[in-house]
Amino acid sequence: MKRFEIKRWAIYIAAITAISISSCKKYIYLEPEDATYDQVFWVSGTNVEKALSGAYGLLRSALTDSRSHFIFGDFVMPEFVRGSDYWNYADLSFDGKNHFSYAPYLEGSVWDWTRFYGLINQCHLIVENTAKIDESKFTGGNEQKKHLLGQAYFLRAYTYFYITRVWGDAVLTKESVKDPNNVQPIARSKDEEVLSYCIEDLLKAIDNLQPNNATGSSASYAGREAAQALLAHVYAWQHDYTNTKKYCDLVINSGYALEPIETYKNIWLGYSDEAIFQIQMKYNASSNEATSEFFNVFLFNPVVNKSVNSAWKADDNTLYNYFYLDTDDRYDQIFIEGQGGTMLTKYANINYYNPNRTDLYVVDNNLVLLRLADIYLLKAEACLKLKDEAGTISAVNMVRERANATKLEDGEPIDMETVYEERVREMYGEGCLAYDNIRMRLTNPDYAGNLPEPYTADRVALKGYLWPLNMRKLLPQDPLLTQNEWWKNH
Amino acid sequence: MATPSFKKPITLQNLTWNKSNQLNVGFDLTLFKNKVNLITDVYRRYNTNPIVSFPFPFFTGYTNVVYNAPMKTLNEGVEVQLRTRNLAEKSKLQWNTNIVFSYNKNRISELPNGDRSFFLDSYGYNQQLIYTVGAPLNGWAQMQYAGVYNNVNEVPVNPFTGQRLTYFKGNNPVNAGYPKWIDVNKDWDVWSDEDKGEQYGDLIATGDPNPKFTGGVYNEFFYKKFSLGIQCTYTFGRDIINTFDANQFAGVWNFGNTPYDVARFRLPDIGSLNYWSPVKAADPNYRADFPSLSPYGPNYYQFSSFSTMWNENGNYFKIASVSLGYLLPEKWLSSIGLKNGRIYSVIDNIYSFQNSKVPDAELVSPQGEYRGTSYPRPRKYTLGVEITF
Repeated sequence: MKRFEIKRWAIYIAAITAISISSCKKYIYLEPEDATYDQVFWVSGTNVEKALSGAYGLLRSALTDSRSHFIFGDFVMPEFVRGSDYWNYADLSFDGKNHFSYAPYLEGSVWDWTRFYGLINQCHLIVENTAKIDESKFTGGNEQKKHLLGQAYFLRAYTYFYITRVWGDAVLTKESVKDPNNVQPIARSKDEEVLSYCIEDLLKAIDNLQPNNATGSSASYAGREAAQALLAHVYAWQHDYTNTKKYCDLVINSGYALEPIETYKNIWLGYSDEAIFQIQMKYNASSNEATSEFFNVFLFNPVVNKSVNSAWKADDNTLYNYFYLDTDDRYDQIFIEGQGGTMLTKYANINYYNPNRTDLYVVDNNLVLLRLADIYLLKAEACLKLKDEAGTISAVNMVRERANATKLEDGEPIDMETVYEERVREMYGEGCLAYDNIRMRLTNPDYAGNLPEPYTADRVALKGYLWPLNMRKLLPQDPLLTQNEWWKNH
Repeated sequence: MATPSFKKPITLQNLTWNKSNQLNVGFDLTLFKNKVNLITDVYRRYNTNPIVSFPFPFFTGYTNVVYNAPMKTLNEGVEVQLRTRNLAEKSKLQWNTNIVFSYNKNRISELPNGDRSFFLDSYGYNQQLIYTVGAPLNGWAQMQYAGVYNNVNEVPVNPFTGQRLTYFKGNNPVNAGYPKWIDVNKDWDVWSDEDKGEQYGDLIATGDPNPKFTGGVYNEFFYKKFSLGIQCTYTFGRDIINTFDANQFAGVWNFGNTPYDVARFRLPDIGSLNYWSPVKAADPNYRADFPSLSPYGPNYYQFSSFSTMWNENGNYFKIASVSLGYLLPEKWLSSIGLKNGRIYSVIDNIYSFQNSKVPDAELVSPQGEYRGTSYPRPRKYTLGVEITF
């Protein structure tokens, strides 16, 4: 026993001595071991590209976090019926009267915008530092430098616009944090100020970016058309329809084409001329950009081995209302009958890292954020507001023609509901109908006496369509922060 | 892809040691020709600006900062050292006693963000730590466990709705065999309710992991060439949580990670446990000591240390070591040219008196959890020879 003790001690002492002798030098010179830092990072175009793909990655994680992109954009509308596993989503749903202030276990994503500010700070860093790097450090010279810069402007605008649509009145920062010792609280800015900052960024982006259609670049990287399409959306959000129409036309005339209905689902597979801007989430054996944990909310048996209780099936009543009365080839393209309900299959391209392990699937699709059909319908909306009903009919008919649906006839009586209904049919499950509802109906004076469920005039006046903020967590970080008006007492 | 690590704490250049500001009053007393010697020290110490990780303003993109937080804790206490020589100077047997006693009271006196109270999670899914001015550092906030509902008639019923009390956001109407949790806020559901924006829900401040009294007692005896020393240490007035047992039970009956948890924690021993079961409860006089352990039962985290079920008294008194020595006679030594020689033996970690069921009430984290992750202290026998040339 005793000999063993001594031996063990001897080993300890030897080990400690060995560690301290060898480590002395190493720990005197403190340098980050696995992380880079500003002075050595912002020196070349290659590194700016890395920072930019970091920014795209941050956008992807911000949108996929708790599937918040689909919660904000679709779940709150009567598009889907939640499976029983989503018991904690009950209040958020249309049936729960969009009671956004009860979101158990989702507080960190639907009430918290912190993740979007990481992305904004990343864009600030790219914008501030790229300007300082000489154009000779870019393989593509000044053109490439401008194109990278333009993407950062675009992403910053995209993020602020996203925040505006979800929570409203963003806390507006215009530069990266310089002195962490001295961070002053910032109050929220009005939407007008935030959106004019978005517009400023997008105009710069349009100046700097190459058109993707000219360079043949993938829609996973923003090109000039993406900035124009986003700008059209920003103007529409402000109900500035003259400018909306102007930028819609620029996009429509820039060389995109609607995907034929036979290959409709290519839009979400990444091989389509219709996608203007998308988040890369395709399967790649050597990367982990594809995941099962985002799109699979729409999927269940037999597409993946999962019960309908763990999915959102499409709401049959809604489908009946929007698709029943007409022939429409979109329905058969994007909906199938699954076990226990109707399934949306825009994102149902299943793939496997290991074909022998079919339980470990990924959904091999892209998340399309801007596409041509969306811009046609935005133009239709703008024309309607500008009293150009022929323009509306022709834009809606572009989309209906592709779907082999009955076209609107010239002079047929149309209203905003005509355009909205077309949007429901076209944009189902793409994270945008909730915003369309706010823009086209809730904040449209024409609907004042006839607000869609569950909204009341009071609730709209106090912007009860926005999401509440997690004041318990965020207020201590920013004493000037205020809660959204409606959620102060609802 | 390259981004700053927004989730790791942003670091600052100007971190410094935390400071403490101490007021001491000392008092020394020597009595009876040095036979009794008393040293007392009364102190009041403010520890300021500890280095901690704190949430950083969201609009910077970073989520955490490590900094000298504008936070103050107050420690007040007494330290007493009493040394006595208990027997007459002439006596052949000599007995000296050395008692060390210290009392400390720990309170938070200032917090960042205008003294606003806040919660922090401790160790995974466990109890929350509550920081509030006037309360001790690392105090716990938990739901109160008050035994087991032996039959369904004992469960309170809401007189307005006729519904039984529920646990976990109304999802689990309380049944026989459920733990009895106290509905502090009287909303007929027992839960922490952070989702409803409530600060406390049914949580209340429960335990204080900071020991009130600590110290030691050392007795030494000399008789001729023999010497005997006995060292004892003690800690009183501390609450601890048996997180280890909690994880054993929660792992199997709440999270169902059985193979993984068996590997980590072993299966809990339920043989000696008087847990509720429908068969036993058929007897109307039956009283269970532990909630039902049905593998098909509902999961509302009832076995985690979310409630006070696993809180234990952390007091202990330990016989830390006994040493026995014998001075070798000089006659023998001088013949081989040595000046001094002594043979001794020491036994460490002999016995511990404690209330708690954990293997060693001393091996707990600063937050008071016994996690079962550190090695138990071995009992150690040492035999030695000491020589001076």
